[in-house]
Parts: sequence; structure tokens; C-alpha cells
Amino acid sequence: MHGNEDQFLEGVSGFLGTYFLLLSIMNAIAAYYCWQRLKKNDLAGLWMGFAVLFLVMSPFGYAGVNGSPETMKWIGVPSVIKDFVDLQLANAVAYTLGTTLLLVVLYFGRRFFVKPVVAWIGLNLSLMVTGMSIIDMEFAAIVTKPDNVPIVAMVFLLGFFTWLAGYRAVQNDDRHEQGLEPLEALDNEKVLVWPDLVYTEMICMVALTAILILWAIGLTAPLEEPASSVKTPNPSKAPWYFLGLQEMLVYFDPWMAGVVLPSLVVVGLMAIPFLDYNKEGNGYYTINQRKFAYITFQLGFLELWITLIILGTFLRGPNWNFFGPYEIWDPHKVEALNSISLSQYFWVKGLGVALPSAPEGSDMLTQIGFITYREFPGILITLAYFIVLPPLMAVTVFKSFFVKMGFVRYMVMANLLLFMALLPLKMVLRWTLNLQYIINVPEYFLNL
Amino acid sequence: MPATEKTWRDQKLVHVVFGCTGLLMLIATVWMFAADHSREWKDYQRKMRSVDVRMTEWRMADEKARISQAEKTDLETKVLAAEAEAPPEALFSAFLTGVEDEGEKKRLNELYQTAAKTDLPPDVRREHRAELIRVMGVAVKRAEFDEDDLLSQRKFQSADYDERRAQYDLAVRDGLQDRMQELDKQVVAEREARDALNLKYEAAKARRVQLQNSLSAINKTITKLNEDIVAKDDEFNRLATSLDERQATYFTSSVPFLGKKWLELPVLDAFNSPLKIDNLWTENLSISNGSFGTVTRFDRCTTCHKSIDKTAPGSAVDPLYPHEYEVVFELILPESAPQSVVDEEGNSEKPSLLSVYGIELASEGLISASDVTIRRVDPNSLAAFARLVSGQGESQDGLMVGDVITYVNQDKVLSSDQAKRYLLDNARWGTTAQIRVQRGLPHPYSSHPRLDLFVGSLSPHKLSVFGCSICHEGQGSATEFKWVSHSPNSPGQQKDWAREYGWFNNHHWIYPMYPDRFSESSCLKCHHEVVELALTDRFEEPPAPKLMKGYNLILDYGCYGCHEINGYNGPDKRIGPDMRLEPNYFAAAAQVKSDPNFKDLDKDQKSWVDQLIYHPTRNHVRHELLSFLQNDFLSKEPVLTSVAHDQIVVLEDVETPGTLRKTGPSLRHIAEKVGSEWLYDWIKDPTSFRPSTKMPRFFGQWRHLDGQEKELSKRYEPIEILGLVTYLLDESQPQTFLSAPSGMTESTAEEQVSRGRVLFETRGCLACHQHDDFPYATASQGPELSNIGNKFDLPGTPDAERWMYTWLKNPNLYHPRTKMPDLYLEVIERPDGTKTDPASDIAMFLLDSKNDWAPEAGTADRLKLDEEGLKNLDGLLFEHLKAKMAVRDVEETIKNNKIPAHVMENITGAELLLSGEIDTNKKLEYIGYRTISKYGCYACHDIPGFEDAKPIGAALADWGRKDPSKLAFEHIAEYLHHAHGHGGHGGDDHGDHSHEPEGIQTVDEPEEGEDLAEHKRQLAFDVEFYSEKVNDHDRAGFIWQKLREPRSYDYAKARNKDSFNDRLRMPMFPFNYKDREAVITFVLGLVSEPPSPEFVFQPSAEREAIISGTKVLEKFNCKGCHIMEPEQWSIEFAEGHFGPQGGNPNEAFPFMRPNFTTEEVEESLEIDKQRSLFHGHLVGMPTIDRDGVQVVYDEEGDPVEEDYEYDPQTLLYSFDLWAPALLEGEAYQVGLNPLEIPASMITNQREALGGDLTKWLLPRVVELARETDPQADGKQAYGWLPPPLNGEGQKVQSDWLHEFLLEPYTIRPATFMRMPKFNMSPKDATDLVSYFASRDNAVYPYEYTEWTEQNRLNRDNAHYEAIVAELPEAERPPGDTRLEQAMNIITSNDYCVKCHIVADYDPGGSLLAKAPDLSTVNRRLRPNYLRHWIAKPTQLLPYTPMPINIQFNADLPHYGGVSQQLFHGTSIDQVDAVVDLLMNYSRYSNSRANVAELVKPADTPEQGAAETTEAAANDTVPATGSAGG
Repeated sequence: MHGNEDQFLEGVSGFLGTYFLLLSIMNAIAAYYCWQRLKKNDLAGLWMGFAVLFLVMSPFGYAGVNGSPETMKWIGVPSVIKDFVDLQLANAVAYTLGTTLLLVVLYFGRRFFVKPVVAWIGLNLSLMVTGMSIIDMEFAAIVTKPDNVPIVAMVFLLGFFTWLAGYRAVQNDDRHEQGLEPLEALDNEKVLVWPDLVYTEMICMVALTAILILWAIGLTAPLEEPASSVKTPNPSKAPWYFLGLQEMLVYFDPWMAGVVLPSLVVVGLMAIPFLDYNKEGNGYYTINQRKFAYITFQLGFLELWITLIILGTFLRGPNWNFFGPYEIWDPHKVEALNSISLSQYFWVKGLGVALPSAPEGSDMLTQIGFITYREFPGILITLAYFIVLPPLMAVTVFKSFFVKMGFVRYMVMANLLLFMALLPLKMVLRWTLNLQYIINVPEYFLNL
Repeated sequence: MPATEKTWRDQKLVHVVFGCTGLLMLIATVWMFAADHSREWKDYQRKMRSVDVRMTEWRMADEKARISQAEKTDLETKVLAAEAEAPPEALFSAFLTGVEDEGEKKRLNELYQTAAKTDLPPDVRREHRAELIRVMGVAVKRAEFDEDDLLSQRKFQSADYDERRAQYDLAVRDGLQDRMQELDKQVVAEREARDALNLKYEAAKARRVQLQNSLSAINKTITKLNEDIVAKDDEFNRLATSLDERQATYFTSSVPFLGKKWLELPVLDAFNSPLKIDNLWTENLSISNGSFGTVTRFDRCTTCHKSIDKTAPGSAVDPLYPHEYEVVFELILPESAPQSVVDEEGNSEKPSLLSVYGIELASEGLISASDVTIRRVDPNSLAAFARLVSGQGESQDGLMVGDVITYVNQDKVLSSDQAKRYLLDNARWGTTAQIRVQRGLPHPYSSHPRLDLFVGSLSPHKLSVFGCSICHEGQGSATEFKWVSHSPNSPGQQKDWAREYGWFNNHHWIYPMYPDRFSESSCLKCHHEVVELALTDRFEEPPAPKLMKGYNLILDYGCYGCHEINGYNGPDKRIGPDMRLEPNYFAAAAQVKSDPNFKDLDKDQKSWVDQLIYHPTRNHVRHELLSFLQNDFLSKEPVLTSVAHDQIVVLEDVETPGTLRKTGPSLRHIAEKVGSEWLYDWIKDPTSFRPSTKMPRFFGQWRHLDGQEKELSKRYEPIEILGLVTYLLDESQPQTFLSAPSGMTESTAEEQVSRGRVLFETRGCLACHQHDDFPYATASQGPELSNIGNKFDLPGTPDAERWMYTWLKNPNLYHPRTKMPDLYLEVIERPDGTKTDPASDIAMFLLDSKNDWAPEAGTADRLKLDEEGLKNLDGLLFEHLKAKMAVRDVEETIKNNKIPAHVMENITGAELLLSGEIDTNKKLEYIGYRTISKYGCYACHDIPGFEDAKPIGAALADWGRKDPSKLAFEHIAEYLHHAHGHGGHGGDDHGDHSHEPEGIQTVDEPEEGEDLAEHKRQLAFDVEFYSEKVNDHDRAGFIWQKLREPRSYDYAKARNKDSFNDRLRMPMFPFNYKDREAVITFVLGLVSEPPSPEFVFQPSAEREAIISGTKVLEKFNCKGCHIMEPEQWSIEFAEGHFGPQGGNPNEAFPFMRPNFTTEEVEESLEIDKQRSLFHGHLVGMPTIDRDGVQVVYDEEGDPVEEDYEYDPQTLLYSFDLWAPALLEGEAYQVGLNPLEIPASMITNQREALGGDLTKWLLPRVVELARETDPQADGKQAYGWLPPPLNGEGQKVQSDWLHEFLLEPYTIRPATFMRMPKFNMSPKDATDLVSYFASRDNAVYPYEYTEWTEQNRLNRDNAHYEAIVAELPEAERPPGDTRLEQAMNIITSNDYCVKCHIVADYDPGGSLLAKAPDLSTVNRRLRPNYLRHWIAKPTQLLPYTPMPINIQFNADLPHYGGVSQQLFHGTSIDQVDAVVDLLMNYSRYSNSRANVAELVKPADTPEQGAAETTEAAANDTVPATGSAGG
């Protein structure tokens, strides 16, 4: 393997050196900006420190080109950390709980995190870790796959826009407390179609075209495995934007994960304008004035959509097993998947009897009857979830919502919310109880 | 809020941003165009073009220098002289007769008189002649004009005539009688006019033709000379044309400016650029893209590999630009430093490379600018005579244009200046300098190395039809190095490629190119029979030697026994090579015979079984037996038991049966042969007894195992071996034995052994076996027998002598499918009355062949189990039984030594061996049975109880495409890296050698004659390459390690396997790294992807016959004894080297003169322009002297001595032609003086096909022959040994050969050995017969010949009798008919009967001199062969002692021949009469057997019939044929 690794390092070396050099220049510019324009010498010093750090790392990045690829490993992520990440953190539970925790911390610490200084440090650190990780063959293999490169870029873009929204929202919330109008209101002027709109659009168009051309030259379309009816690629992955849905397949029946839940997502998004009774927060960023909407959206989008895409793209390997970012995608890795249904819990484990089944040769109705009988615990729970919970919620936590929204709007909202909650609930059930399905009717491909 | 004029953003800033994005856009666009413009392949095309143009220019200059100006000048002088010569009078007057105009005639006459004046200076005469010719030309022109004029007049007249005729016809239609009459007259008039004109025209034409012919006759000499002058420039002109063509592609005019290059400029090159992507495709030649259909292959390889199909000038197969290789020359330096030359104008010119050595260096190299490249080599300069020291292939003396100088002596040459310095300034004058040059071009500029086989227009795989990727694989449609899926041939190359071209291992392209070392693999796609890839006459070099080696290894080692290679997909669809075991019919029959109730069968039924054992191909017998068994099985009271009934499935028909026999000996009667001790030792480690054995090692492969895992192996393996021994001996079936004849002369054991040794040597045993007593013999068809005596010299061995005797006498009794033939070891009666039995003698000799080998110490003890052993036995029993029954039951079984009753009820199969009380022996037998099943011993051996067992290994038919993810690589990379990576002898410093792991190692011994250091180096490369492949999870890596350490895939895996029996089981074969690679090459080629049938090799009927025959030849090792084809030497020689062969052509029968076509003669007269040498092709054998030793002379002309070392280039060989040859247009006949060939003349020397035994035994048999006949001549020794079979097809009759192969008999009494009887099926014999017929272009299968035509015989007889009747009484030969008189020649004491047996007549005398029976020749020889044979025997077989009896001499009356008193007529008549007699001998003798006289009128008819049968039988009494057999 050594030969291969050296070759690999030589291969990434030029890129990596330049990468760190660019990071260094980026920080140097930031330092210059802080020093000259903002006159903040302490910040300038900090950025300069980063610039120097990256500048020092850069020659190591170039080492492979100069024939000593092994020295590159000095700036790689230490293997202790890699092993820790791969062996301890790399599982769906840690990942999901970790991201949830991160979101919670970010939410509550938003005042701190939206500070440009903190954000810039965060950006620097994440770029640095990415660069250091690329020295690892496995990490690089996933990240530099021509298909995945734009996804990596989009992760950073997403981070930026989420930060931008939070940054503005925090400012607006502060102004609101002080009784000032939001920042957006200050710009409440009408602008000219030309040059403000069309000219800008044209610039965007030109820039975008240029970038697309450069992208096409730089990252040629990869040759993939030939399609074969007898051999599916392992792992088989959907296009990146569907990988969130594909991840749901781990927890749900294809029918649910592929049809019902995606439809409800669309329906739910369409329903939002009709459900939203909150008049505040129109046309400007805010968190405090729309806490419910903000949290729900961020939970649905960041937690249940984006992180699952990242999980599906970068961390799901052969056999759809979970692989750490530095782990070899070895198809021989086996994860025991022993899960059983609620009915089995109830009948076999709980009551110690066999699952009720219709006598052989019985007609359809009898069969359906027996199936219903067999699955009655799950059916009861499900019915309770969708029928009993909303009224309960209406009289407790969502009391004010119910009052303001009225029955129909409230019930729609509550059910959509409950459907959304199904995914995390199901995940937790799977992790804790090894629960396969709540209702399990394989006879009609109907599972929940 | 109202709109304001203020913009949202700062416009200045926006402008700047816009400017920046615009700039970015510009950069992106330019970059895009640049990227497109500078695509990799365009550079290659440009480079190739410039290389081509420059090389052509240089070669033109070279050619110009080569054209001999002197010769040209000479010719031109001749032209001038001829032009000054007046035309010959006769020709001129012939011309004049054609001139009509008197004035012109007169003028011509005058001019001729002027021209004929000889006293004028030549140029004046030349002018006169030119004027004469010009005027003559004018006359011809005039005649042409007259002719044309008349022709057009005639046309006009014809048109008028046609018009009148039409008018007449219309008149007939309209019924206009008057007009008809009038028109009729007109028609006649017009026709007459036309005919008159036609006559005139014809006269004019004749005149013109005559004038023209006369004129060209006058000019003939000059025209011819001019043509010769032009021909001198042929090659130059050809080069010039090709240069023009190349330049035309980018120079539109002579102005050296862009021209078409405009079209290559960026952006513009999108439109019809001269640089283009080449597409090669053929309909139906498709490639499969995954499982969703196939598409036509588009190969764009030639886009970069532009010169791939270009041939060298003047050759159809030599590459124009060979792939670069190094050549070393020795350049002679002038004696002293050359002086500056001062030219006329007083400028002194320093000595240059050109003036001193005759070379000029190019200002820059072809490929890399810094290459020091030679652009000119003057003929006859020092450089042109540089002596070749080393170089590959066709390298010759002399530097060449295009060579790149890399070294001068030991100094690296980096620039032209350096080269000059080394060769001029610092040269050591008067010595020699070693010059190293790089010749040829690197990829992708080089041409294909085998244009005779591939790509070339004359090759069987034309580029335009086959493209590239069908053989090489790779992504043919790609145009960039890295996307093509080139495969590096070594890790070093891989690194270079990765660096230079960004190469990477593209896992997604499922057909990566074969690395160089496996390039032969793909032959198997279309060449399913494989043997067709052996060397044939069509190609000088073998097409696929590595692949053939792999094929033969698989065949020899019987890999197909476990790993079936099924070449069929359905009964008729061929998908690849087919290597499968034949149906096991004989074993099934043998098993039926072992049925306890076999004795109750009736005679017929028993005979079916016996027949089937020895002739398993007799389908009708098998069907009889099968239906009997089926009926017996279904009947209420079956006669036979399940032992026989189990064979029903084996005896059933197979759709496409395999054809290969099991490779090992039968073990069905093993207990009759060896004892347990030997058997134990052999199974444990076959190499201990016989280091050269092909049997692989099953036990002791522990190097990958650790601690407990290894302990388990150590405990169980001895039990397994013991089980095998027990099973084999217990289940062994009794064998029939033969006993030695009585009445032999008493002799001591020593005498027997010494006789046996001689017999072993001379009876042909050495054709297949090796023995240390005869170190010269190296055959390996059968096992080595050096210490065979040890095998039988152990306690517990059954009667060894008896077994060996029976085996030698009739091997089939022990093993019906053995390839060992029946040698006809019949009792020898000597003239002194002693009688000896050769079989017992050889048996004694073999049993006496011993060395100090003994079974491993303690083997005898291991055969008895101690307490520990019994525990292990139970342990192993447990392992086996737990796969078949519940663990609880197993435990109970072992405790009670009885299988529990409830389990026993349901048991089938092997466990039945354990029914009843289980004792140790039963356990061992059971273990033995299961172990045989586990290791698949029955794949190579016939073992009772395993008749219907299936192969245990993975089928290999499409292994070359096996998905690597389906190969269990397990922890092999870790094993190679950490544990024992470099096992075997190739070990480098990896790991600690003091801690060498226990267990057997891979064999990697250097082959004979291979340098040890080189071997180690190669081995290290091998390990490096394949380890990389293992890491990449490449198939090649998998199979490499599988062959090297088959069970190492169990490394760190064995510990977690549930049962000991789940471990890997493949044995280790004694392959070295070359063998392995050959096998890998073969297996990787098994892809079962035959292209559409038109591309698959489909041999002609003749070729197919040769292919099937070759397989049979290989199977029975016919080539071990017989020379199938003599040696073939290609030579080149200077004009006049071979004088005329001698011999008076008038002394050869007209029908014996060699027959060559004019093309062949012309070809032999072609002279190599470069070196002025002729080429010749000789077929024959090196001459042997009286002692049977090859004749070779040294430089002085003395015979070479054995121990002295000679420079091989200085030797002189003597060569006997065995087929007529053409040398410099002269035909050389067979049977005259040998040719003397200096070694330096030989360009290619192809060994004889087969006949090793003959080669080894020649001197030996001469020695032996001299014991009885001191005068025995070694030159005839070929006749005493197995006869060479060249021309056999033309020689013998097909049906005779067929019978002879199946039931050989003694043709000539004298030979040392006789043709043995092979265990051959009629189909095998048929294949051989058609092989010979097809190879020698003989008529097959039926030949109709006039020689046996009765009517013709009668006619000839009548004719002859009429002639004889006219002779005076005294001159009439005795006898009535022609044939009777021909018999006079045969029975004359001076001729045939001097040596030949004829029916009941025996000439007596020395055995060596005794010749075959002439009365049976009519069954054996083809008539034409016989005729040639009688006319001149040495011309057919140069070594024959048969003299020419009937001489031919055109100068003598009756052309010589034998006495007219014996037969009247010319010698041709005499030969023909003898042929007629011999070919119709049975008819002749029938005519003399007067049956009617024997019939007594009162007798019963039976007696007469009996007599007739007897008479007929007399004709075909198996006796003898003619000399040479």
C-alpha cells in the first residue's frame, strides 16, 4: 500500500500547497483590510497569525511534488484523532445527535457565533481541517470525487448563507428591542431597472458562464461503472439532492420514504403561507419574532434534509454502511441489522405466543381481519399519535396556536408537524429498541 | 417613494466588477480554445509528421548516395553509344517497305545514308540518327493520319449504308414495292462503297502497325537502357513520392509558409483540420457495455499510433519504425589523426565526422531535440562498416540513418558537440570505439513489431478489419493516454506513466488493456483450439509462445481435472478453448465388473463390460450395457447390486463430451502395485521420491498458519494421509497378471539387468521417460524412472516383478486409459539359439534402478496409530460427521463406535462406510473417502467409488472476466506485506530469515542454463509486479498468489473457520515464475466472449485436420520418436557462393526433376539491395557422419572437438537437403552432395519438429549395430530408428495408415524398435491420417489412380506383348505377360531380392540389410511415391541404403536401365512395369493361383471356398514393406 499512498500524496501535493497558500493570502488580505480600513490592529494581528500558519503549512503541502511525500503527513490530521473519529463518532446515532447538539448550541449561542470574527475563525478552521484531512487517502477519495466537489462547495455556501441570515436576524432582533426598525427597512427605496437590476444580472450571467466553463475544463465528467442488470454498484447512490430521501429508506418502508413523506414535504411547504398567522418578520431577518417558524424550518431543513444529504454523500459507503470520514470503504465491513416489528415485540416477546395468522386457505376478509388483529398494537399507537396527540397538544403546549389558528388550520399544522416528527422518532426507536416497523403488513407492502 | 436618478450601487465599482467578470470570461474562453487546441493526440500527430518527413528526407539522401553513380554513368554511356549507331539495315528496309510516298522514301534513304556514315564524330552521327528517327516518326504519324482519315470515311459511309437499309425496311413495312426496288439498289451500292473503304482502311492500319513496330524495334536497345537507368532510381523515386504525399498535406505550394497549416490554427482547427481523429471500425465487431447491449467498436488508437501499420521500404512485414532498442557497434578509428583538408580556394576545412567516419549529425533529434541523431551515413565509410556487437532481431553491421548515439565507449553523449569531441578531438586513433545507439522510435511513434501477424496488410489480422482493442482491450474510443486504460507492465512503468501522463487505474473500464506480458491472452478469444497458435511455416516466429506454454502446462498438470474449462455454451456454440475430462465410461465399466454378482452375468453381458473398459468409445456397446443395467435396476430381482447400478448415471450419453484423459495413473488396482509405506510417503510429499514429479503437494502448506491453526493441521494431516492410504489399498480391485514365458535361456540377474539397460535405451522408452543412466535423454512425457526400484523395494510391496512385467507387457491391464503404449516386447531369439524375454529384462533393469532414497524416517510408525493418533482420528471424524448429522449424534457415534440407529436410517453416501460396528480401519477408510472428495484426487486418478464425482475447483471458462469482487482476496495483501511476502527463493531482506516459517515453499528454481543472478532479478520484478496487482485486487494478482501459495488466502482466516475441512484445499504445483506467468496468461485469456463468427478463427478443412492431428500427436508424444518435419534454415549468401550442384541432369528420370514455378525462381533471384545478398530456404537435416554424429567443421575446416569452445559464428555446417531447394535460381536436388553452410550465413534456424529420440540415439545405435556388423554406416542410421515422417501423407495410403496405427505390425525386421501399439481410438487414428494427408497435400480419403486400373493394365500388356513379339526369339525376356517379365527384374539376384523379402522368399543375411516384403507394398505405398522411390530412392529419403537399380541416362540406348534380357524397353518402361507389378501384386498372384484346378468335380463346395480364402489370405500376410518403413 505504501507505493500507492506515496503516489496519491504526490498527486494531491501541488493542489494542497496552493490551497494553503491561497488560505494564507486570503487571511493576509483580511488582515490588511482590518488594519487599513477598519483600523482594528488586534484583529489584523489575528488574521496575520492565520496567514503565517497557512504559509508555514503550504511548503508541507508542496512536499510531495519535491519528492518527499511522507513529510506531508506532518500537517495531516493526527491518526489518533482520525481513529477516534472513525471508531467512536462514526455511527448514525452519534452523527445525528451530534448535529442536533450542534444546532442547539448554535441556536442558543447565536449571539456569539454570528460575530464576524468568530465566523471567520470558524471558516478558517473548517478550511484548515478540510485541507489537513485531504492528506488522508480515504477522505480525499470521497471529497475529491468529481461528483462530490460541488457538494463540498455547497456545504460552505450553505454555512455562509445560514450565517448571513443569523447575523442579520440577530442585528434586527437587537434593533427591535431598542425599538428601531429592522435593517431592511432602511433600504426601503425603489431602485432602477437599469442599471441596478439588469446590469447586475448581466454581470452574474457572465461570471456564472465563465465559472461553468472553467469548471468543465477543470473537472472533466467522470467515467462511471457501466450499467449492468446483474451487478448494481455498491454503494448505489441517488443524485445528491435525493440522498436525504435515500437515508430515510434506512428507517422507513420505500412506500413511506419514497412516496408519502416526500409528498407531504411538498404539500407542507405549499401549506405554509396558509398556516402562518404570524404577521411579524415579513421582509426582514428575525429569529425572536418567529421562533416557532425558525426552529421548525431549521430542524426540517438543516437537520432532516441537509445533514442527511451530507451523511448520504460522504459517510455512507458500500452496503449503505456508515463509514467514518477517514475510513476505508471496505465492502467487507458488516453491520448487524437485527430489527423486529412492534407486533413481534407485543405477541412474541411480550405475551410469549406466536403471531396470530389466518388459517390457510381463508378468504381475503378473514386474512385482513387477522392482519389487523396481529398489528393492532401498532395501529392503536399510530391512531393515537395522529388522532389523540393533536387535541392534547392543543390544550397544552400549542394552546395559543390553536386559539389563533382555528380548528382546521391547527389540525393541518399539527399533523404536518407530527409527520415531520416521525423521522426523528423512528430513528430513535430504531437505535434504542431495534424497532423495524410500527405497523408491519408485508402481505400488502404496507409498513410504517 | 418616487424614483430617483441615484443608482443603488456605486456605478464605478459595478463597472470594475463587470470588467473583471468580462476578463474572467475572456480567460475562460481562451482557455477553452487552448485546451481544445492542445489536445494530446494533436501533438503526437504533428510530431509523427515531422519525424516522417525528416526520416524520408534522410533516407532519400541515403538512397541517393547508395545509387551507384558509376553504373548509372555506364548505362548512360551505352545510351550515347547506341544513339550514335545507325539502325541496322534490315530493320530500316523493313520500315521502308511501309512507306508509300516515294519522295519520303527517297528522303529517308538519303538520311539513312548520312546516318550510316561511320567516319564522322559521334555527336554528328548522333544528330544524323536523331534526324532520321524524327523523320521516321513523321512517317509513322502520316500513316496514322491516313488511317484515321480512312476510318472516319468508313464511319460516314457506314452511316449512309445504315440509313438506306432502314429506309428499305420502312418501305417493306409500308408495302411500297417500287421504292423497295430502288432502295435495294442503293443499299447494294452503299455497301460496296463501304467494303471498298474498309479494305483501304485495313491496309492503312497494317501499314501503320508495321511502321510502328519497325521503329520501336530500331529503338529497342535505347529504350531498354533508359528503363534500366530509371530503375536504378526506383527506391529514391518511391521515397520522393511518399515525401510529396506527406508534404502535400500541409504545404499547398512550394512556398515554405503555412499552407494548409492555417487550418491547424486555434479555433480554425475546428473546421477540417488536417489533424484528425482516426476511427477504425468494422460492422459486427462489437463491444459489450455492461449488460445493456453491445455497440460497434470504435478504435481511435491510430490517432496517436500513426505509424503502427507502416512497413519498412521493400518489405511487407518489417516495421518501418521498430520500437526503440539498443544496438552496440564497434567502430574502427583511423590509424592516425586526420589532417585538415585545404580546398581549391585555399580554405582549410577541419576534419569532420563526415570526412572521417562518413556520418553527419542532425541539428536536432527526431523525438527529443537533444537526441544526437545520425542523418547521413555514407556508403563505404567507416560508419557503414561498424561491426555489430549486440542488438536484437535483424540488426546488421553498420550505423543507420535515424540512429541516436547514446554512448561512445563509456561516455554518455548528450549533445552533438560531445559526440564530435569523443570521436574526433579525444579519439584514440588506431583503436576501436564502442558506440551505443538507440534505434527505432518510442511509443506511440513506433510500428507494430509483428506486422506479419497483426495490423499489416498481408497479415491475418488486418488493421482495417480488426482494429486494435479486440486484441489489446482498453478503451479504444478514448483519445487521451489516461482514458485509454493503458496497463503498465511493471510498477516502474506505472510510476512513470502516472507522472508523465496522469495515468491512473480506471476501475470503471471493465476491459483494461492487457499489460505487455499478457498480450497473448486475447488470442484465445478466437483461437479456440489453441494448438493452431504453434509455430507454422507461415510465420518465422511463433505467434504466441507464452500462451502455448501455459496451455501445455495446464494439459500436463491436469488442471482441467478440478477446474473445468468448458468451451461450449450449448452443444454447438463454441465460446473458447475446451479442456474437460472425457466421460468416465471405462471406470464405470470397471466398477460394474467389481460388482459382487458380476460372475452371474452371461457371456455377452460380461463382454460388454470388458470391451467398454478397454474401448470406452464404442458407443453401441455402452448403450447395450446401459440398457441392461437400467432394466436390471428396475427389475424385481436385480442380478447386480448398487455398485453396478450406481454407474448408470455415468454411462449415460453426454451432450458434448470432454476429450482429455485423467493426467495421473489409475489407482483402481493400486494394492497390486505398491505398499502402504511408499504410498504414505508419496502422498505426503511426492517430490521426496521423485523431485521431477508433476504431482502437486497437498500437505505441509503451513507457512500462512500460526500457532493453533498450524497445530490443527499438523494433527489432522497425517490422519488424512493415513485415511487415503487405507481407502486406496482397501478399495483396490484385483488385476489380471501376465506371466513370463517359459523356456528362456538361463541368465543371471546381472545379465538381465545389463540386457534390460540396453533394451530400455534402444526400445524407445527414452522417448517419454528420463533415467539417470542416460543423461542425454530429457523427455518428460512419462515419469522419471531413475530410482523406480526404490518404490518397489519396501516391506509390504506386493509382487513387484510380476506387476512390472505385466505393466511393460500390456500397460492397459493396469490402466486402460494410460498413454503408455504396448511395446510388443516379444521374445528375442538370437542366431546362437539363446532366447530372452525383453519384458523381464527391462523389468529387472527398472527394479534394479535404485538410489539411496528411503521413505521419511518414521513412516512405518505413522501407519500404526498410537493413542495420540487415535484421538486425532476421532477429532477429524468429528469434523467430518458434524457436517452430516447433529453434534449430539456425532458425539454418541464416537462414544459408542456406532452410528445411532435413528440416524443410520436416513444415511446415504459416504457415511454408509460406517455402518455397523466402527473400528479404526473403518474410520480411516471413511476419512480416506472424505479426504479424496475434499482434495479431488479423482480429478487426476481413477479411484474406485468416484466414477461420477464432479470437479471440485472453480470453472475457468470465463475466469478472465470474473468480477474481482467475487474473488476472496481476504487478507492476502497483509500476508504478503507483513508476514511472508516474499516467500520462496525470491526472498529479499523483508523479515527475519532466522525465523523462517515452517511448511513447504514455492519452487522458483532457475531453469537449466538460466543465470542465477538474472533469475533472482527477474523473480524480484515478478514479485513486485504481482504484489501490486494483489493490492489492486486484480485477477492476475489473485491467480498469481493462488499458484504460488494456494492456501495463503487462509492467512488469519483459518482461525475463524468453523471446521478444519472449510480450509482451502488447492495443492501447490512445482511452477517457477515463468510457468506461473504462462498459466496466468492462458487463464486470463479465458473470457468466453467470442466475437461474431466472421472474426473467429475458422480453419480450412486441411488446417482443421492438421489441428486435430496435432492434438493427437501431442497426446501420444509421436514427436518423441519421429521427426515430423526436418530442420528449416534460412540463409543469405553472396552471388555465386553455391556453385552448380553437380550431377548430370540427363541422368535423372524426367519425372524426378524438381519442379519450381517461375515465380519461385524469380524470388530466389531477388537480391537484397542493401547488402547484395541472395536469400535461400533449406529444408533438411544436418549431415551425420559414419558414426552417427553431426558433421561440423571449425574455421580451419577440421571437425570440431567436443570439449573445445568455438566461436559459434566461425563454424561450418554440413547440411543434407530433404526437399529440393532453389538457390540463386538454381535447383538443388535431394540426395546429392551435402551443402556446406558457414554459421554466419544462417539468419534463421528452425529446429526439426520432433525426433529427439532419434537425435539422441543416432550415435548409440551405430555403436550397437557395429557389434554385429563392423561396417555399419551411420549415415543410414535414420533408417534403423523410428522413421522421419516428413512427406508421410504422400507416401502411404490412408486406409493402410489407419489400420497400421491401430494395429501396427513389423514392416522391416531390422529396426531396433518397432512401432508400439498406442491406446488410440479409431477417431484418433483417423485424425492422424487426415493430418498427414492434409499436411502433405495428399489426396484424401479416397485416391483413384490409373496404376491399378485393370483396363489400362490390359492395354499396356497387349501393347508390350506386341512389341516383344516382334523381337527375335533370343532377345525376348522370359515370361509371357508384361508383369511376368517385370517379375524378372524383381527376382533377378542383382536387384530387389538381394535385400527384399518377397512373399515366401527371404534373402537371408544381416538383419540390418534386410528390406521389407514387396508383396504387400500395394497396400501400403501410394503408386506415385513408389514410382519415384524405385527411380531414385535417395531423392526421397537421403539416408536410405537402397541403391538405384534401374538407371536412367538419356544418352544411352533404352536410357540405360536393366538388361533387356529381363524386361524389354526403356528404363522408364521398366520402372513403370515394376510399379505396375508391385501395385497389382495381389492381382498378379491371384492370376497364378489356379483354384479351378484344385476343385475336384465330386468334392463338396466348402473345400474350394476354404482354399480361396487361404489364397487370399496369403496376399495380405502381414510381413514387410520397402526400406524406410
